[in-house]
Amino acid sequence: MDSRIVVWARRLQESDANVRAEAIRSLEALGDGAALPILAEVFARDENPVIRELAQWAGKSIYYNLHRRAQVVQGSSEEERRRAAEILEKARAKKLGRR
Amino acid sequence: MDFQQLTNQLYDPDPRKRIEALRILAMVEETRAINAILLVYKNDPDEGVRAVAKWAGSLIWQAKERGHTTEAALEAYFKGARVAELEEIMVDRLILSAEENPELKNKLEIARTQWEQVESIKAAKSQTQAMQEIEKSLADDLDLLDAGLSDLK
Repeated sequence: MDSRIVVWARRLQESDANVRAEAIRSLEALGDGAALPILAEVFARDENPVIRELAQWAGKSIYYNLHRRAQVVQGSSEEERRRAAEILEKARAKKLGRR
Repeated sequence: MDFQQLTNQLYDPDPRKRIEALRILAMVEETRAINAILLVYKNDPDEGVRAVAKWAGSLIWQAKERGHTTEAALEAYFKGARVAELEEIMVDRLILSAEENPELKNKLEIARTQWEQVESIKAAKSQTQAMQEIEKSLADDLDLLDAGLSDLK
C-alpha cells in the first residue's frame, strides 16, 4: 500500500474532526482504490455526520474515477491532449502559488 | 477496486472482507449490487455480516428511492456536471503523481509543448486580425479626414 495512504489513514483516528477531514480530502486527492476500505469504515462508524458525508463524497469520487480509468481507450485524441496540456498549466500555476 | 471485485468479495471466506465490501458498496450507493447484497442478507452464515448487509441494502434502497442509480451517477459525473471540481481534483492528482512518475511527467510535458505551439499560432493569427482591424479603422479615419479637408476646399 502507498505509504501516503498509511499516513493519512492514521490521521483518521485523531479526535479533531478538522484533521480527519483533511485526511479524507488528501486520500481523495491520491485517488487510490486502496483507500476505499478505509473511507468506508469512516463512513460507517465516524461519530460526526459531516465527516461521514465527506468520506462518502471522497469514496464516490475515487470509485467513479477508477471506473472511468478502466474504460479509457488507449491513445488520446487531440482534444484530450489539449485538455491534458491545460491541466498541466493549471497544475504548474497552482504549484507555484503554493511555494 | 471495481464493481466486479467488490461483488466477488461478498463471498470471501473472511467475514471481515465481506463486511468491508458491503461498507464500500453502501458508501458509493452502488445500486447494481442490491440483489447481491440481498443474497448475502438472506444466506450469509455470519450474523455480523448479515447485519451489515441489512444496513447496506437499506442505504442503497433509500438512494434508489430518491432516484439515484449508479449508471446515471457515473454518466452525470463525467459529462460536465462536476467538470470544475473534477479539474481541481485532476490538478491535485497531477501535482502528486507527476513528481514521482517521470513517464507521466514526460507525456504531459509533450502535451504542454504541443498546446503551446497551437496557442502561439492562434495568437499570431489573432494579432494579424487585430492589426488588420486597426489598419481598416485608420483607413476609415483617413477617409473621413480627406472628406473633411475636401470640404474646406
